[in-house]
Amino acid sequence: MNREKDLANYALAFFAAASFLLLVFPSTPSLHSVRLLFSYSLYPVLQGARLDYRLRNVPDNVLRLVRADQENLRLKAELAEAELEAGRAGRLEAENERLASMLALSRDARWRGTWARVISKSPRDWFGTVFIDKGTDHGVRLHATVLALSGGRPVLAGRVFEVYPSFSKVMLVTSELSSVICRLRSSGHEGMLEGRGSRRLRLGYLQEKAEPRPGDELVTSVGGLLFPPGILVATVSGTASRDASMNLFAAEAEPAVEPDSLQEIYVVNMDFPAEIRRYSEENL
Amino acid sequence: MTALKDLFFFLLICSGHWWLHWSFPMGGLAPNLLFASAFASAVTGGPVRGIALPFFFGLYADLLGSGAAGSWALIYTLIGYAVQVMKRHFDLGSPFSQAAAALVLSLLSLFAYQSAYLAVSGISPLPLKVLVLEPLITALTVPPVFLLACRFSRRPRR
Repeated sequence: MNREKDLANYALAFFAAASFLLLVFPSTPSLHSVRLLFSYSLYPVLQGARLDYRLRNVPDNVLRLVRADQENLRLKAELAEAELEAGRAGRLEAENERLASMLALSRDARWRGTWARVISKSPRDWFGTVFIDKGTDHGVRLHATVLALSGGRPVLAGRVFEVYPSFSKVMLVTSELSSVICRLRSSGHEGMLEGRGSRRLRLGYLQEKAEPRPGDELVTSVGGLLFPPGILVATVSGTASRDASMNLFAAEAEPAVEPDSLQEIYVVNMDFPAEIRRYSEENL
Repeated sequence: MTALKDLFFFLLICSGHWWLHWSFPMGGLAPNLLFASAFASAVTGGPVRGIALPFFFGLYADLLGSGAAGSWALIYTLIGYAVQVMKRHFDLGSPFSQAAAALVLSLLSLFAYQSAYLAVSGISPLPLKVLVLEPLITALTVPPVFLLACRFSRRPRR
């Protein structure tokens, strides 16, 4: 008798605990879902007129549930497709705006050239070089000036470094190999802007009188052989400090071009005299 | 084998209860076969089966109802335990004593459910008609359900 009592007590404790757990945890929605599923599947059994008709309709209802599930999956896939399409449309719209502003530039451009798309970038040389989809077949020449748009203004992106028939390699101003003779727009002093393989540039060979201040714009110099003068290259971002090895000053600068978001560029075909072109191709 | 018989009994009662409530409600009321079966299982079953089966009948009642999951399961478990205690002191073998005990326990269970809901959420889930009439109808169905439960139980009918 005592054993039965004990068993009853244990059973009570166990099942009461199970009930409490059901009450405490959010199991009600799951239970109601099960009920709805069974109710939906077995509804014809209770509502139909004849037994065979009722039983026949049970699989139909289950089939309808399966079909509804399939339709749900299909609609989800369509929704995902539509979202992709919407994203693509957004990108096209942004590109359209960008190209429209570029078209305005090419109409106003003082230089003759060709638009090209950036087709490849190497993560190992992120700030160094990019490939574009135009080459000698499109009139691109070695060391041609490459411009990009930044805030609606043409800025110097770099120069053509290697040329192939249908594509070219462009060396960016941020490349460690790049150096551009620049002029401070404010004071007119010149210096050498060198890439450092990062988002920072170094403006060297500055005279003490130059006094570059943060925010001063650096444009291509008349004395530079490769680039047309007056193109914005960078902005001074730090105060000048004395170069340790020489009696000259240097300052940090930020490139005007955004290497991360470079997508379309303009390759300028400059008609240098043949001697100068030959000289530049031999010496650079 | 006993477990299979219990499962069959459980499914039979569940189907019967559902069918009865869908097809033959009398003025919105139908005998609560689940309660009658829980009671009969507790009387005929041992200490574990006599509490386990009521728990599962309660769980099924939760499945059918719109209340919180586990509420009827808990009440039916307590009923199962109460019957375990009662049957040591009372003879629950006769139809009259079964009906009387079922009437009292049914009323208590409905009041417990009603009180718990009123205390927790301030709403009354059961109308007065159900509170007053359902225990009576259910008590009348207990003796036949008890006979059915005896057929599925290992224990001989007392």
